[in-house]
Amino acid sequence: MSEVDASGPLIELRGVSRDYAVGGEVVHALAGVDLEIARGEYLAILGASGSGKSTLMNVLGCLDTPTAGVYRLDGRPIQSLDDDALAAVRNGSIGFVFQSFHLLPRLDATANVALPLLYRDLPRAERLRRARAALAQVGLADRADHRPNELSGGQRQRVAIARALVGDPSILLADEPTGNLDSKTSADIMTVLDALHAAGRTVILVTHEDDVAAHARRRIRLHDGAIVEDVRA
Amino acid sequence: MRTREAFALALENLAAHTLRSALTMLGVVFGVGAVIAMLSIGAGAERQALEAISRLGLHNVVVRAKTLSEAEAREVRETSLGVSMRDVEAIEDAVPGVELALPKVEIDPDLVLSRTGSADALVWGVAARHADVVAIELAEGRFLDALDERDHAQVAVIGDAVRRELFGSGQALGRDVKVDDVWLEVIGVLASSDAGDGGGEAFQGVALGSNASVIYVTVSTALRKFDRDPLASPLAEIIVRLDRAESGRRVAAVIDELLVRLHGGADDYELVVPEALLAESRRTQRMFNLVMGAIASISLLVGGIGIMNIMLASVLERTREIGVRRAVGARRRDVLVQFVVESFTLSALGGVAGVMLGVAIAEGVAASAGWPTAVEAWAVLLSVGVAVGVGLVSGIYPAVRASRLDPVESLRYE
Repeated sequence: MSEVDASGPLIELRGVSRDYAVGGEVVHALAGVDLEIARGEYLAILGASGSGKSTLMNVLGCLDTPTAGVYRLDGRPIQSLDDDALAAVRNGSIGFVFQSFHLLPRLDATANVALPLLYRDLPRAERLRRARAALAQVGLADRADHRPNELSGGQRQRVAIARALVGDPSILLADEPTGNLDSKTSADIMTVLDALHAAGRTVILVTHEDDVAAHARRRIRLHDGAIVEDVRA
Repeated sequence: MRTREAFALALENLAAHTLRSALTMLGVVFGVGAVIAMLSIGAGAERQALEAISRLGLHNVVVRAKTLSEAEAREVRETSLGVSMRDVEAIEDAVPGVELALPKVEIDPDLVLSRTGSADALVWGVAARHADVVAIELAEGRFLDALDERDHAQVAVIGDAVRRELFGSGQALGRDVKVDDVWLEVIGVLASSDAGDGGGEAFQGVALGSNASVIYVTVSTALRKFDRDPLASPLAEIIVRLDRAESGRRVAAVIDELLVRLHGGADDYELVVPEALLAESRRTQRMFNLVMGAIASISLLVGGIGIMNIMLASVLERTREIGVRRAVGARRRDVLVQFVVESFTLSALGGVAGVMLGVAIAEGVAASAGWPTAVEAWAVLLSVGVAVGVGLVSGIYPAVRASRLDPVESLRYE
């Protein structure tokens, strides 16, 4: 994002809907969502399964586009972008953390973290340098050449967070980041996310666990594709 | 993603499944290997045929005496002299487009002796001007001349091997050689033919084979002084050299007409037209290449289907990887390139392995069966090119499918 409109909200959704055709019927996964998220916010999206929270995360992460409404990211309308432009936005502005980590098993931690930079045409040495720095940031400098299967669940999720951070995105999108972890490791990962927020990063959590959501300063709850609750701590 | 990265990625992915990659390549390896091996063996055979043909000279027509059984010879001699000096004169005088006609008598003597040794040699009776047409290099002395021919002189020019066998390292010039019952004086010795193509007769730049074991005498000496089978043709062959512009086949037809009359219709000679043989040989080779090409394309097609099959399976297997790559910013094009480059690499490696296999087969055949083989650059380029093309084409469909996967769906794929 070269032209950052620092005055407006980071994320602005106006009447965003996302419809799916399932069989002969139309399912409204999102039904007219209005939402503004400011820079540096720590937000949790809560909701039961089927409430539309995953769809909202996919739309926010530019993996999916709304069927109606307006989505502005840094003031830039996203809903009209083509596939290549969306890929560029994901690469530059979004960092994903997934519930099941989604690391590539054949690559070591450094190569996994460096993956987003591969699509930025950076020289290899620079990619690896930045990847090691990101690993150090999540406290895994000593596991840089381990493959995912040589790491514990918590370590894997840290690698995934490092991958999300390496491109210096404006938003960190974490989809059930502790869903596959035990309570102690979960607390550990939440500490990392808290620290990232404290350092000024915008963090959006998608979760159905209240104690995870409790870390966030603002919580919105979705039901049947609509926001039914928006609470600031 | 840069091209170099794409290739590095492809190699990594292929190396991660070594056995599967190797098995996938097999189709291409065998296809290319078969093409190279067959084309090499074919090219070797063709080269051998062409050598044999051009040894006759492409601007020549050769009249050759037929080998006849005694009964046939008796019958034929009632009307025909056989291939003779009369034919030589008639061809030179009456056939348009003929530059000259060279007679050759061949005698296989029982005995070749000197005072210091014996030799195993052939006697060739040739015209004096033989040396004007055929490049003959003398180490010492002179070649036969018109005077020798007129006088049926008992003189000879001997090959290098003959000289060594008869005189060792001693002086040969002026010494006598006894061939069967005829004494011949050595007036010339041919240059050594040890240096490969350097020696031997050469005609229009084409080597005619070694003459190291030949004793040259004049045609008249050969015909008059030596005992010959009276039923055999006097001449073994006549090499008819044509004017540059003439077509061998056309002149051969005229010569044939003339000889039919001179020989009273007797079937005791044959006409060899190298130009026609060459065309024939080329036709055969083209047919061979066509058939081979068809067989090879089938095996390359099968190889291509194998690659497509594996790539489709690979796309399915790596659906989540594709999703992750798309999520972190890979464009459709990046995913497409990744898979196309992978199948390209697969088939290119297969092609290279195939070339090695083909060359090994060709050399194996050359070594064990003694057939000549020639691995030609165009065959290598063509088959590798086709293999790589097959790889690209069969990689495109799976790659397109990979690039069209929906990122959200792929991330959810189990």
